[in-house]
Amino acid sequence: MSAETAIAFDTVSKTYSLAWHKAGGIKGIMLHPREALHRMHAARREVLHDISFEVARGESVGIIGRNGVGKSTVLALIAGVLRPTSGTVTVTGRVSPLLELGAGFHPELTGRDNIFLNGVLLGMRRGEVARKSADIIAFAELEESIDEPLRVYSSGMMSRLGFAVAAHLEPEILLIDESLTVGDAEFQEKCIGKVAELHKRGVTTLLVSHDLESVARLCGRAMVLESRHIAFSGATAEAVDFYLDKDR
Amino acid sequence: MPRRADPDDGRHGASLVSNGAVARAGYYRDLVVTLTIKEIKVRYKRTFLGYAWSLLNPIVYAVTYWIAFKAILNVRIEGYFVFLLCGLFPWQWLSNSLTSSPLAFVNNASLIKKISFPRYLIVLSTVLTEGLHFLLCMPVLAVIMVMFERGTPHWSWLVGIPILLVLQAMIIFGISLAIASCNVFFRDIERLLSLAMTVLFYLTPVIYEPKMVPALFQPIMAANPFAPLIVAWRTLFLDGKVDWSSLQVAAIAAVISMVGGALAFHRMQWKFAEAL
Repeated sequence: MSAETAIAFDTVSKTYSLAWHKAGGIKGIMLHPREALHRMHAARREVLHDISFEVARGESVGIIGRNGVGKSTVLALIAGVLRPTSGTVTVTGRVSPLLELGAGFHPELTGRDNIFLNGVLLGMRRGEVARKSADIIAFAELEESIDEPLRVYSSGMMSRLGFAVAAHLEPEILLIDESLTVGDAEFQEKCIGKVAELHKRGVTTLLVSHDLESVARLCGRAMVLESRHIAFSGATAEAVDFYLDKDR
Repeated sequence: MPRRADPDDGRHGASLVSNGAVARAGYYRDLVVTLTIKEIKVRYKRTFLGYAWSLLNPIVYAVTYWIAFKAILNVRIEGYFVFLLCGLFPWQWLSNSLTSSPLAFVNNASLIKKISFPRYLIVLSTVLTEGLHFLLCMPVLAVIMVMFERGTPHWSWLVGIPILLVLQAMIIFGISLAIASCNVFFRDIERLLSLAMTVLFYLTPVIYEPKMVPALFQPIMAANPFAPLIVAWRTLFLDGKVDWSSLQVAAIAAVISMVGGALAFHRMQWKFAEAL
């Protein structure tokens, strides 16, 4: 792994345990301890198998694949929310996880309070959020309603606020999980523009999407995930062809 | 310097590694402050009385217990109303924190699944929010004590209050952390807890004095980590004395609770995002 590597997966496997849904709570364990234990060990599902790849600093990589092939798991491993079952995940740099816009937003708090809450949860210091809040509000185009509670916002307004906070994080690594389909067409364009701008400034970008068009626009390289492994990795246009061909 | 992703760090990677542990500690402090402010703001949204609720609750309970145990059962304790309040205020901190702890992780599922940050700070912020309410109740308690001529504010409070605050916060935090972690997997705990808190309340010397407990039941008192806390608070408030022997027991309970909570949390935290 070179110094210019931002993300490295080394023979990473991820197995989900389905145990907690099958053990049947405390009652099940107390009444049938042996069965419960057996079921807990049997109930596993492998999502990624021996995956290795590297993403260089400043690179922009798309991940495409059908539902349930582990795309989101890859992002969650990079974000540090999940730990691989085996292998190592190495991440260098401040990660901005756009896995879900506005994670931690509270409906009873005002937009302004939520900027602080979300910003700090995403890794900013309070002073940092205070400095940037005017920019964030302007980017989200919410000057009018920023001091109203979030519950009166439309879902589009909420997504705009979420994207605005995440975009001002000054990340070194940007993870995007299908969240560019935000707000109206005009704001969508603004989001894609912002991502492109961050990428130009040297931010490493990982984009998981079904929207092949935005992958083609934003990513220099793409990987196709298929049944637990990387089926194809290369130039975006070729990856899209490979995926569509497989997809039929 | 590359490192493995680890939610213990909150943020991973170069930006904080270069600034080292100081920056990380500063960030964690910001996180706790932000979560605590959120809790306080959310708590009393759309309530008319707001902060007064944390005063009103113990006072209403105290009046009720006074009627039941003093006026009706004629318990032999001097200044029983103030006696009750001295136990009920710290009990409220304890009981509110523990009762809300099972949902600490469960209710924040979206956060836990999407953002990497030290999850135990969610539990800590609840404990601190309740602690802050308790602190804000203390001046009122002092006024009531003076009004009823049962104990007065004393210099010993300056020593006793900080020590007791820290010990109680540690005991509650450890237990809450264990409950919050286990409840992710076994939601039975939620149901069990409200029952357990009622039982514990009567097994903790809030409405009676420890010396009134028959010898047969003394071991229960000794095993209850909340008993020395309540006794120490009351001794401090009513007699102006720091009860060092109770503090010692509470300190042992605090260490056990923190270690137990940390172990439970550490073992389970990686499964949270999968199980929620």
